[in-house]
Amino acid sequence: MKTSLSKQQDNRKEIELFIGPQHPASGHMRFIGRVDGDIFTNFIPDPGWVHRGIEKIAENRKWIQIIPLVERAAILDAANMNIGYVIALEKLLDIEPPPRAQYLRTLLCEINRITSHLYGFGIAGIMIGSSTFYMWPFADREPLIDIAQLITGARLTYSYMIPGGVRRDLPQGFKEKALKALKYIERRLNNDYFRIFFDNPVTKARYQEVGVLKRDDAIRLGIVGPNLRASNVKYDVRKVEPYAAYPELEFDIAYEKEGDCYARLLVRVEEIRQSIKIIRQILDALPQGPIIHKKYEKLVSLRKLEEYQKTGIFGLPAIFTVLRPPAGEVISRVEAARGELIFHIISTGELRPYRLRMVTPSFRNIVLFRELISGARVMDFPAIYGSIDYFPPESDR
Amino acid sequence: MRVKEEQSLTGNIYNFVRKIVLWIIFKTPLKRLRNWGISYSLWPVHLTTACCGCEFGASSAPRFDAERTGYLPFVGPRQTNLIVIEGSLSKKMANAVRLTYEQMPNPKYVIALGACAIDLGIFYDSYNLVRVDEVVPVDVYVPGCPPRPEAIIRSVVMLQRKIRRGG
Amino acid sequence: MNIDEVSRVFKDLKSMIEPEAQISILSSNRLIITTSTDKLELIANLLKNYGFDHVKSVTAIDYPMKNIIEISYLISSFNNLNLSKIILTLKTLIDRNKSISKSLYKVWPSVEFLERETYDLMGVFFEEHPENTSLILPEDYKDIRPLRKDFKLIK
Repeated sequence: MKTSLSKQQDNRKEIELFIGPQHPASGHMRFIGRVDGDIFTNFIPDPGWVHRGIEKIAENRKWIQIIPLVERAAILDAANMNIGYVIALEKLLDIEPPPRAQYLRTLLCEINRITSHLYGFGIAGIMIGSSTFYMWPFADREPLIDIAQLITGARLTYSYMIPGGVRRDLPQGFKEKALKALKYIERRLNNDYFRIFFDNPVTKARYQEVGVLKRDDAIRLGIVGPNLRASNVKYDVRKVEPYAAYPELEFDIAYEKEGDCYARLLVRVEEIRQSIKIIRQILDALPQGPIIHKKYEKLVSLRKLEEYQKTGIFGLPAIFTVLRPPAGEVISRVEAARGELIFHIISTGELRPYRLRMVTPSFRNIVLFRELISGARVMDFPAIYGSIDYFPPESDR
Repeated sequence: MRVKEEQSLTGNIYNFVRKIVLWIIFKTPLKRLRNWGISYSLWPVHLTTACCGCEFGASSAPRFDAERTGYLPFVGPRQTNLIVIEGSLSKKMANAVRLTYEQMPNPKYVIALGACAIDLGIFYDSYNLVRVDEVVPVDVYVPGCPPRPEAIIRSVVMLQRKIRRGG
Repeated sequence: MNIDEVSRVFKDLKSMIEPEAQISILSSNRLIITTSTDKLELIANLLKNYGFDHVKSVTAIDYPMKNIIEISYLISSFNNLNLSKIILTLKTLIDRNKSISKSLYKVWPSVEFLERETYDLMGVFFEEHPENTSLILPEDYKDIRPLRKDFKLIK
């Protein structure tokens, strides 16, 4: 006679539950959970399904070739990955880009932060079954991707920043188009999103008091980014160690006190508002001047220099292919959309770096799955996963 | 097949009917009708393998709206007939892709997105990647790093044409 | 952060950790401490009590010519906003052939996944780490660990 399967086998109450890699939300990630009834007693994240070995490949590339390589870790957030590496490289080369280039870098980083957060909202929305809130943020990303495309010419992978400055100046009529897009996204964010999602009782029931991360735990586990700030820690690299044009710009650190899934989403909403504020300031106060360091401007051919003065597009000088930064060790940190990004680079004065260490925010947040989901109900898993805004390629590198 | 007692009197009706049905389905014009039907009900399985998944997501979103061409991302591999390989394929993931592919019912099709799927692209010397054609047979390749959503929609349209021409 | 505050932190730390370890200033917000593997946990505890509460990165660097592997912990603080402006590198050297180091999991739980990754990609075994198993590479990986210098990529 057959009884229920779990009882018959070995008298144990717990069942092992495998989730993924075939699509738990944004895919390529596996979780191994142990379930007692519908409560997870243990939950282990198993990353590495998109590991491409960027750290090793970087040892095999010239310095300038690494710029597109590190962007591929998180193509959603390419500008922030790019600036982290370029700042480290500039520290080695000991050059400082001109002010206009600093402002343009900040501009692209903030546009990228907004698009990245909107993507996160879309994934969080579809995970708790609100397909409208998948469609809306994904549609509203597009105007911002369009203005990023006006600056750089690419949708996601910009490779816009180079050592000493940026590759292109702003096109004509950029300010009007950008302001229009910002106005649109601000209206959508403050009215429509709250009406359909953030103030929706269903959303609040799924998110509030679910997956609470206390302040001490967040610090102990070394969490970064919006997930840290949702637990009432006011840590933002843009304030702690300002880079690019951030010292001259006015903005606040977005934070919440509760530390639950809802707070993590609200921090991102507030960050988008602050980013809009920063972009408006940049558009108003953009300084005039060159977009590339004088040292490199002299090195390009006459034809390229004429083209640069006419169109504002700077062709890479040939010296970049044989760039040899002096020997040394640098650490750079920037605030990417998902949190703090660290580059630790060892140079021996060769054509290629000796060692490039890249610690991405998603990798440091991976421990959250175990801490928050152990003890939660099975149906809270999608809500918590969506609120962490985890991006597997960024974590695996 | 073992011949049973009643089959010895009537002949193997089961096999006979099966042959007739297959003949009707795989000869024109019914085959044409079948292919036309398949081409407008392509349901890709949700198997995101790498970062081109962002643009795959954007292609299903309102600006580009790939669903108007007659395809809809779907959950379980048992009910789908299209698999979209989104970018690079790590060794660990290749097993999962093969497993998913084998679970899908026939006929099944593969679209490979991105330079990584063609010849590993920017990660050409990586130690943890495999080429897609070593794992599953590919019908349509889409170049780009990442390909634009328009290109992804075009690849779906190309696949539909291919199916209508006779698979 | 101005140079006075760094030098104040520097003096505090110097009086605390010497003679077990050496400390020096790299720039206005980077400090570096070098110590031996058996003193590592002691120094880490002192630093934790001083206010450094999390680890940002565990970087292992392979030097086959000198037959050593260098392990750097990048340490900083979330609680103390003055200290969070500093990134402190805690550096130790281990023998390349044995590749065994001491885990700092008991001091800073935030090293857990960083050390596991270092074990996986560089092959450094961390004693007293709760889980020294494969994280990123396939479970049946048998080759030389990829971040070692003698692992060559095919061109």
